[in-house]
Amino acid sequence: MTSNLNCEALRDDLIALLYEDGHPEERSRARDHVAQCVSCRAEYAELKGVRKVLGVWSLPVAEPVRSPRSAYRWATWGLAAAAGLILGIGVAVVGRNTLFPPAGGVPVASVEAGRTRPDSTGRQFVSYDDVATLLAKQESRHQEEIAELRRSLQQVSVPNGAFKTASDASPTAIERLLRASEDRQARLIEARLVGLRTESDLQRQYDMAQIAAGLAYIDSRTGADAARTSELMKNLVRVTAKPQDR
Amino acid sequence: MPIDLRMSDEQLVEAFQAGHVAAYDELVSRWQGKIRGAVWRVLGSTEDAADVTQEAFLRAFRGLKAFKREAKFSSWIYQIALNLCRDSLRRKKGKTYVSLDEPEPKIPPLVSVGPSPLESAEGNQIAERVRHAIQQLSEDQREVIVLKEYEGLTFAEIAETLGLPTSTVKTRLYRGLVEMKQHLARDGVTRASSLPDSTRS
Repeated sequence: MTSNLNCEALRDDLIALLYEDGHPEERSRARDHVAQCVSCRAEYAELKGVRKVLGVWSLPVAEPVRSPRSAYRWATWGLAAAAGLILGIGVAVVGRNTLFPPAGGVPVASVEAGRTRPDSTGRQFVSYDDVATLLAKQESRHQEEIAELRRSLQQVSVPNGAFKTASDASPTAIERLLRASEDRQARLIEARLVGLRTESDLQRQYDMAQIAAGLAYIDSRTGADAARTSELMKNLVRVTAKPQDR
Repeated sequence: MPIDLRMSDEQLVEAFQAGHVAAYDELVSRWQGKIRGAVWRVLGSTEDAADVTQEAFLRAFRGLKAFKREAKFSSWIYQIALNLCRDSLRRKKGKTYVSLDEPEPKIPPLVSVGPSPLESAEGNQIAERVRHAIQQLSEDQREVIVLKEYEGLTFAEIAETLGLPTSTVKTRLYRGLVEMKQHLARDGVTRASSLPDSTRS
C-alpha cells in the first residue's frame, strides 16, 4: 500500500510518464507506482483523457507573418512585377504580330518564307524550332545594338566640355565635375535660402500684427465678460442667500 | 555565406549576426506558424495573435544582433512572444468592464457527450469548450499547457523559455491539467469517450 505523501511526491514523475519526457528513471518510478496505486492509476487515466480532449482544439488558418526585412523587398518585387507585367504585355503585343499575324496577313517577317503553316482560319503558326531561330536572330541583333551603343557612348559629348571620350573620364576629371556641380548646387541653395528668409521675415511680421490685434480683441472681450460674470455672481449670491445671512 | 535551408537555427543566427540579413527570412518562415499558434492559444483571439506575432518577430529582428546564443533561438522567440502576450492580456484586463448586474455568460453544457452522427459538429463544440477551458486557466498554467500540448516543447525547453526549473514546469502542467479536467467537466466534457471517433488521436 502506498501513502498519499508518496503519491504527491511522485506527481512530477507521473507528468514525466504522461508526456514521455524527462529522465527515464522518473518514468520508470512512475510506472512502478501506477502499477501499485489504484488512485494514481485512475488519475493517470483521467489526465490522459484530458490530453486527448485537448488535441481536438486545432489552429485556424491565418495569413503568414511578413518578415520585417522583407517589407522593403516586397515593395521591390512589386515594382519588378509591375515592370514584368508591362514587359509581358509588350512582348505579347509584339509576339502576337510576329508569331500570329492576323488572318490572311503577310507571312511572318522574321521567318523565312515557307516555314510558317497556316491553319484552317488562315492564322500562321511557327514551330518551336522556328521560334528558336527567331530568338537567336533577335539575340545577335541585340548584341549588335549593344556594341553600337557602346561605341556611341564613347563619343558622346558632355556639357561643360569636361571630357569628350571615355578615356577622358578619369577620376580627376569626374572629381572636377562633381566639385563644379556641388558649387553650383551650393550657390542655388544659398540664393533660395535668402529668398526664404525674406519671405519668412515678412510672414512673421504679418503674423505678429495679426496676433497683437487678436490679443487686443480678446482682452477687451475678457474684461467685459469678467465684469459681467462678477456682476451676475453677486446678484446670484444675493438672491440665493438665506434671509438671516443678509 | 549562402543561406541553406538545411542550416540549423543557430547557424542562421550566426549568419545574420555576420551580416547576412536573408538568414532572418528563413528563421521567420521556420517559426512563424508555431509562434502564431502559441500566441493565439494564449490570447484566445485571432486578430491580437496576428499583431503580437508580427511584433514579436519585429522585436527579435531588432534584438538578434545582440542575441548571445546562450539560449536556443526558438526559446528566445517564444519568450519574446509570451512576454508580449502577458502585456497584451494585462492591457486588456485594465480595459474590461464587467457588469455587476448581469452574470458572466456561460457556455451551455453539451446535451450529449456520446458519439453522434454529427461528429464534426460535435468535435467543433468540444474544441470550443477546450478553448474556453484554457482561457479559464491562470496565465502561468496556460503557457505551459500551450507550450507542451500544442507546441510540443520538452520540459527542458519550456524551462528555458520561461526561465523556470523543470520541476516547476511539471507542477504547473499537473495543476493545469487537473484544472482543465474540472473546467471541461463543468462544460459537459467529462471523459475521452465523449470525443467523436474522427477526432480521437
